[in-house]
Amino acid sequence: MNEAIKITDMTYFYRGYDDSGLPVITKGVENVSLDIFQGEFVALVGHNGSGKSTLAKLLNALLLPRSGKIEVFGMDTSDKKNLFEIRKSVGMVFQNPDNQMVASIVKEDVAFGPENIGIPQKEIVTRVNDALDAVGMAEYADRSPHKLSGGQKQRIAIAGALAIQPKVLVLDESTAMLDPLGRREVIEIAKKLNKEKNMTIILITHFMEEVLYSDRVIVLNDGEIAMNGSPKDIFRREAELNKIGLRVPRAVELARKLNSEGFEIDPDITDEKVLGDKLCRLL
Amino acid sequence: MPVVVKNLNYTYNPKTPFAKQALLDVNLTINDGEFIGIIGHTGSGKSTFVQHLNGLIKLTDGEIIVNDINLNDKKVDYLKLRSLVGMVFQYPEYQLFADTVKADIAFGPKNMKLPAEEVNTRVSEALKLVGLNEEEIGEKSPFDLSGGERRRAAIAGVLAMKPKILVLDEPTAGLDPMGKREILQLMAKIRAEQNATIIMISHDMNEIYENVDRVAVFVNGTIKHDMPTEELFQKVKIEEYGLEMPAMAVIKKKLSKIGVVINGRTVTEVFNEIVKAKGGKNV
Repeated sequence: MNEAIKITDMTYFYRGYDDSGLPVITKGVENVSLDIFQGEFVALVGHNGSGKSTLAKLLNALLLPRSGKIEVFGMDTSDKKNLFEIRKSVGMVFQNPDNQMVASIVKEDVAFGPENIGIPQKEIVTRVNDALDAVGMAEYADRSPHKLSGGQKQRIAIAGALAIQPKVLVLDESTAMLDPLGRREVIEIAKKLNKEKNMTIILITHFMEEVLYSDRVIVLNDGEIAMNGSPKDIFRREAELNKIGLRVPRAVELARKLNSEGFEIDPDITDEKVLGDKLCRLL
Repeated sequence: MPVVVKNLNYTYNPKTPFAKQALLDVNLTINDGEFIGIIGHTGSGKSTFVQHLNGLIKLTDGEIIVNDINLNDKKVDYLKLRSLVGMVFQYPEYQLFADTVKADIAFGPKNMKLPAEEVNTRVSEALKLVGLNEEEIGEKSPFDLSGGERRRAAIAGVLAMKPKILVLDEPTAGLDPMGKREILQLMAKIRAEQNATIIMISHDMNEIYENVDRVAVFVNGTIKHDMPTEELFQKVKIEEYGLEMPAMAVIKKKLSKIGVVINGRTVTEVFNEIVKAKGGKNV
């Protein structure tokens, strides 16, 4: 597999000042080395302040490493001449859908990205239509984004990122503010883009249930990579997860507890329906 | 005295082409000391409803009585109403503004024109209640706190007004699992120690299931269901409203069909009861 992103020994810290005007340094990420491959669906989890969003911003050169290196499709993000290509390669969608709408009509909002990178008018129309199709929002093209639900707005925000035709899509807690249906909509779109277009997806989330859709989970703790493995591998390290402020999904927690109590239950069960059916046979 | 809402209707931008009926004949009585959950898809009227309770949205059609304050009266004492009903908005940490944590928390009680000594006592009590160390962080800038601490500091600002009724609009959104748990534990503590009524809006069905006694389900501006938590999730197909079943409720529903009735709602409670149900039988 080809590497989409290659991070080597990267460190980033924030420079600031305290109340008395003295410089203060706050850790962002430290000594991170990580490869993300093209077509992978990676979940990035960690407690608040663990460095997830810092890492996300380093991925498309919104921040530049203080030391170490990050390469996006072989392009060093610290090299200014790569900036344009990198930003085109890595699309980002953030947490609050309302902060990401720039136009008063859906199709114009989606067109904002391609317009900015100087795509010819004719192609913009095609790209906008394709992007809206991909997120299942084509029929809303002429509507006002402000009247959509949270999930729909996030889908428009994703379409806006897709119109740039990125190879990597970063969803930085894009489901945090949504209702259950909205969350499902966003996850479904991400899964579809990953499967059908082989798009690399980096999903940052606090919902451990959402981790299940990924091929690989990266757990950050205090700016460093604490774990890196499949959802199953990660969930098996429940005690460590708890220690760093995370917890496994409830169904997983119950399955593991029952297994260690001696029940004939696969400790890797992740689906509550499967666990429920299994229990019905055992009791 | 309880909160009584009768035949409440509300329309945004009435008598304009943009008129939108947000609430439609809402009836709800909330008793003293109750912990009630309000759920529903985005745009179902939840926030519009709770904003009526402390007069942020002026009552236009219907009846609301909060304790001894009748919002239909010609002259409503809003200062009194707002110290009675504490409102914690979504992402309350964005509303922190003062130089120090203590000054921020003091803002509410100061506005209530309490004597300085009383303000100080209340600030200390509120900090203690939310589990923040006054010595350590009282003089810090709220912006130097971690995500979870900031949220708790913001909630302390509301608690310092000693509201009898506490309304929280998605108090755990955007927090990591440990941060979520801290906030929920805090709510249980507030309820136990202050005997407060708590009204919580949430999109997280698992946390609703584990924490509240009763749930009101908003669908398109009206309360479609209002019943004890367990009953709701066992009887009503809430997926139809774009919501999802809590993991433990799924398992319990399956088990009840084979005659195994589980009462607990948290993973640990359900686990203990399953072990007990298995009883003398060989595992």
